[in-house]
Amino acid sequence: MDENILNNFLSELKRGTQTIAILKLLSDSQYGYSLLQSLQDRNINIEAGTLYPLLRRLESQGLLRSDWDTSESRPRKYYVLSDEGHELLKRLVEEWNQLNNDMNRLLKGEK
Amino acid sequence: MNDYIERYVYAVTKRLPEKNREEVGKELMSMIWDMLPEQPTDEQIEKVLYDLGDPRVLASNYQEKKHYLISPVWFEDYIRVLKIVLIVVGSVSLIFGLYGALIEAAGANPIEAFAEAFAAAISGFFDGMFQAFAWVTFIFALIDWFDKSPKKAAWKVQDLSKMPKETSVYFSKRKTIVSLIITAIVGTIMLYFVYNNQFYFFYWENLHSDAPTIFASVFTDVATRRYFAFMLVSFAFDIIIHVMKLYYGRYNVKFAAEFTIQKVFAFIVTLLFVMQADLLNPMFVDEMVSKFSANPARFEEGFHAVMIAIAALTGLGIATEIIKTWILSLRSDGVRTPSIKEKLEQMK
Repeated sequence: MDENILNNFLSELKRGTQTIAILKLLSDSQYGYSLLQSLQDRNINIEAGTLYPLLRRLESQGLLRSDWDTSESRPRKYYVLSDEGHELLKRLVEEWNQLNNDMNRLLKGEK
Repeated sequence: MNDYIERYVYAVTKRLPEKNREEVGKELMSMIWDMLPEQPTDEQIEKVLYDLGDPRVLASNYQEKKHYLISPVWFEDYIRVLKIVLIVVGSVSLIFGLYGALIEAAGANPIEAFAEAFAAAISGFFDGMFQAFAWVTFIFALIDWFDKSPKKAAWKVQDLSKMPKETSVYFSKRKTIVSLIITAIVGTIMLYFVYNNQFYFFYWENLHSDAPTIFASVFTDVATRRYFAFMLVSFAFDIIIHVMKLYYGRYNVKFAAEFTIQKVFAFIVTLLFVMQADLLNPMFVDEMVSKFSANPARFEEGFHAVMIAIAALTGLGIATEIIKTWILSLRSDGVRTPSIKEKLEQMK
């Protein structure tokens, strides 16, 4: 089997789930690199070059809020889920569970 | 410590809109430092930057909208039209270049003349290709831009083009291109003669004479100059019709309508030319009359009769072509009802 084809399918399959994971992990405030590490600890491999722009996009969509913490020697930007983000996450999780059930039934060959 | 981090951040932010640069730069800088240990070595910095990837890609990830000159929705159409236009413009400009340069170089050493003409044709060819490429791209970029505007009406099923029927009659691509090239050559030669009013009547008085006897130009300068603009437009129409043939690929009613307009226009132009009161050059009449000791009034009458006959024959030819095109187009679109004979054949 062509590894390239597999990788294309995998990255397409993972793309949507990564967003759910990011939203979930940002229920508590985190800065970019710590979020990246939390994701990697959970086996969700997203590249830094993809994650950072994605955070900005989610913020511009009003799903995240951000704050600069300047108390440390180096300033850090912390991201946290907004009310709208919480609402979206709840809906996405419901959809995810539904999808999971449906897919499992399908893959097990049930009707 | 090297300055790779600053340079990397700059390489990203310079590709972003002005308003985001400062914020993204600050954020990126802090994230890069987060990824590094205290007192990083040059190697560690390089590794982190390679992990972040090509700054061009990162910048494009930061762009909220994807920017296209011609978006994927239009790209196929763009390539299709571009191909046709490049074939047409390429062949026409090559011929024009060669032909124009040969006329200019006339009289010079033939090898030099040919080399010069060849060089001119090549440069004309590239010039034409670049122009065509630029214009097609520009027009498609405009189409794409308008297409994105929110006012745009949604597509309708009624707009879908008709299925090519089994009855479809196709244009031969090769024949069309050959015809296009011939039209271009003959058209330019005609335009050249009309512009310079070089319609000469000449003949050899006897088999042994070297030079023919040449008369004054048949037409007056005024009449041919007046006619030139019409002929130019008619010529452009003819070229456009050829391009439409390549574009449609098969006869259809829309093509038939366009073809009719072009031919009728061409016919009107011919009629206008023939019917000009000051068409005939008096000097030419004088020379003819004295040469053949003819009656001037009879000569002019005869001349007009010949011109009208030419116009009538042209009209007849055009009418035949139009009728043929309509029959084939109606058949191609499956509009024309089959004849009884065809019905009988179907029943078998």
